[in-house]
Amino acid sequence: MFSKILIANRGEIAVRIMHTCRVLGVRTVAIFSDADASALHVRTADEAYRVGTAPSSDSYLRGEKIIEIAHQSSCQAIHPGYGFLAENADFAEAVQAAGLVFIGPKPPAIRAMGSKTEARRLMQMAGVPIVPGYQGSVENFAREAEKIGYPVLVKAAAGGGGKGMRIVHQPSELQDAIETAQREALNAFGDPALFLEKYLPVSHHIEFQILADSHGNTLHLFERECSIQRRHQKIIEETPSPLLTPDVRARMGEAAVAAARAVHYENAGTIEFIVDEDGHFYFLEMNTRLQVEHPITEMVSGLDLVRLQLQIAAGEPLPFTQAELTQRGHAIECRIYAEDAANDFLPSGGTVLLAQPPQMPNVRVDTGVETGDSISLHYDPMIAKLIAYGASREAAIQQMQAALKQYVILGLTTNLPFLQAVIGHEAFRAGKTTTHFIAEHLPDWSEAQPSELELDLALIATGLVELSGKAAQPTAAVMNADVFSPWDRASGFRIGG
Amino acid sequence: MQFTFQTSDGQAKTLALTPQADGSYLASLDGRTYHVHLRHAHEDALLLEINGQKHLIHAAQDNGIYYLALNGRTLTLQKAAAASVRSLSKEHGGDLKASMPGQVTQILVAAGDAVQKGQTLILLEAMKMELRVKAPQDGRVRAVLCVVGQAVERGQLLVELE
Repeated sequence: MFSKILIANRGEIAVRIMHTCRVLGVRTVAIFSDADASALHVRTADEAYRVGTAPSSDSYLRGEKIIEIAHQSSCQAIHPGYGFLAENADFAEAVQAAGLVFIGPKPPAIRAMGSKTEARRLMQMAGVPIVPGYQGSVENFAREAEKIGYPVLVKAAAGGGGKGMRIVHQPSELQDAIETAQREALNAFGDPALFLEKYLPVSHHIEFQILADSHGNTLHLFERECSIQRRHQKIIEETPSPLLTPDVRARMGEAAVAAARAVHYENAGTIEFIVDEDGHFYFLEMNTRLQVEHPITEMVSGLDLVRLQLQIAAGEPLPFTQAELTQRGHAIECRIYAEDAANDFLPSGGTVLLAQPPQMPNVRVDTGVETGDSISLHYDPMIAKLIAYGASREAAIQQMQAALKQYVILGLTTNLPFLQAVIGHEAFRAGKTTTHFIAEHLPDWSEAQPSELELDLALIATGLVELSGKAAQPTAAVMNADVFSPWDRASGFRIGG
Repeated sequence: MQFTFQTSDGQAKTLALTPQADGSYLASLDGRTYHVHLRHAHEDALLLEINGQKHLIHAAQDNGIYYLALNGRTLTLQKAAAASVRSLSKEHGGDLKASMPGQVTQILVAAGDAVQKGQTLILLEAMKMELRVKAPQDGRVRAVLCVVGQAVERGQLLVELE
């Protein structure tokens, strides 16, 4: 096992990786931009080094600088987390060339799956079903789109993660979509190449967790249902999927393993499938890294995926076989974002005046901020991941509802009210989790106004806080016989100050 | 003691709090009266008891704005200024302050203009997005405190309304 590693990331994933390192006795090195100088991940690490100014391009994306820091601090390996350089094959190569271990797959696998068109080609060869599509010249798109059948998606070949795609419903829209997509693809990914895919409007987005060691063992850790999305970004994930039968699950698992083997995959990765209502599944893309939603898999399997990543990277074989793996119970994850759900979900940044995550059995919180920290708008505005577990899906939903209600975040607007609306919706309870969920069930959602009592209580509380600055004493002082109680002191106490 | 607070949708609310001999309080607002026992007070939370029912309320303040959480939701309140009203709106961009660092791209009003609730006053660019700063209520522009092209900080006041 490594004795020291650098985590080339920030926020909640950097913190989460460091927690596992602590368990294993691995020392941790953090990197930070000027905007993150006093961030939680910096405080959590054993050592921390400045990597640049706030913009990612000058900090978390500076591969050479990061490798330099790893050398200077005597690290043996680099964990890239997700996002930033995690799927950058050039970075993975540079890490290896520098004599360090990249905690992830080998660069050729990253490259192969990074090109969505190359990935589709490899999957076809491996016998993995792919979404009907076309990858040839743009001049033929009109003809091929007719063959595929509208609606179609025009997608960036170098894209991924839901970015760089346009839905085209009829032939007259195609040319515009192509031109716009080419421009966006060039801007966002540096490559204007496009391909066509059939668009399945009512579908489920189901992914399989892959683990592969360097001894030829490749297996899957079952699925995650990630259909609740907004603008193709996931908000709620769960496992197991309410849609899959044991037979479909087994076949998808086999396909996922075949897909990973086709690129000689090592370490943790995820195969994303799109599944229609009849249970037909198609390969969508592979993410050659740890996923944001990996905690739900950990909850139902009892495994620590980051620990396994480190072990695999250190050359150890997987400690179990496919036959030995089972899932137990049900887990749901909600992503808590600093954004105003009532105002088109624009990021809302700010200072976390109070963060009090729920503390209850079967609830896990992976966060990158504590009270007093700020959410910068230079990066993804995720505050935390909230995960709830239950013996059944109903129990997990109940648990999540209670956890959402108890989660206190003050100082900035979050999507907590929106998440409550989704989890509490009868369509969610009924398992009708398609990619169309929000558009269908909560299209014009806005938070309900506070009730008269809620507003009165808020006003009373604020009044009492104002008074407390003037030496107010709570009634509890009368009942509290504790001689050390602050409530018995004559001096005033301050709340919320 | 009397307090006047403004809610996030611009309503002014007056609260009267009268301490009682036993340490409890009588709270009245809008003609409603509550007998409030403060059962526990922590640095960031209050436990109130009214008619045998307990209510846990978390509170924090910053820059004259109170942030509260109760019953699974949040609210904001502002102590109403004596003179001209600076409204607080929960709506992103509805605040007359810049809610994130950015650059002013367009100023759509001038001093003296009458404005309506919801009317866009200023356009900002931040994080490659266009943000609209809107009037939280009907009023008149007293002063525009920024110029086109100016880089603004979070919390910087952009327009004064009366």
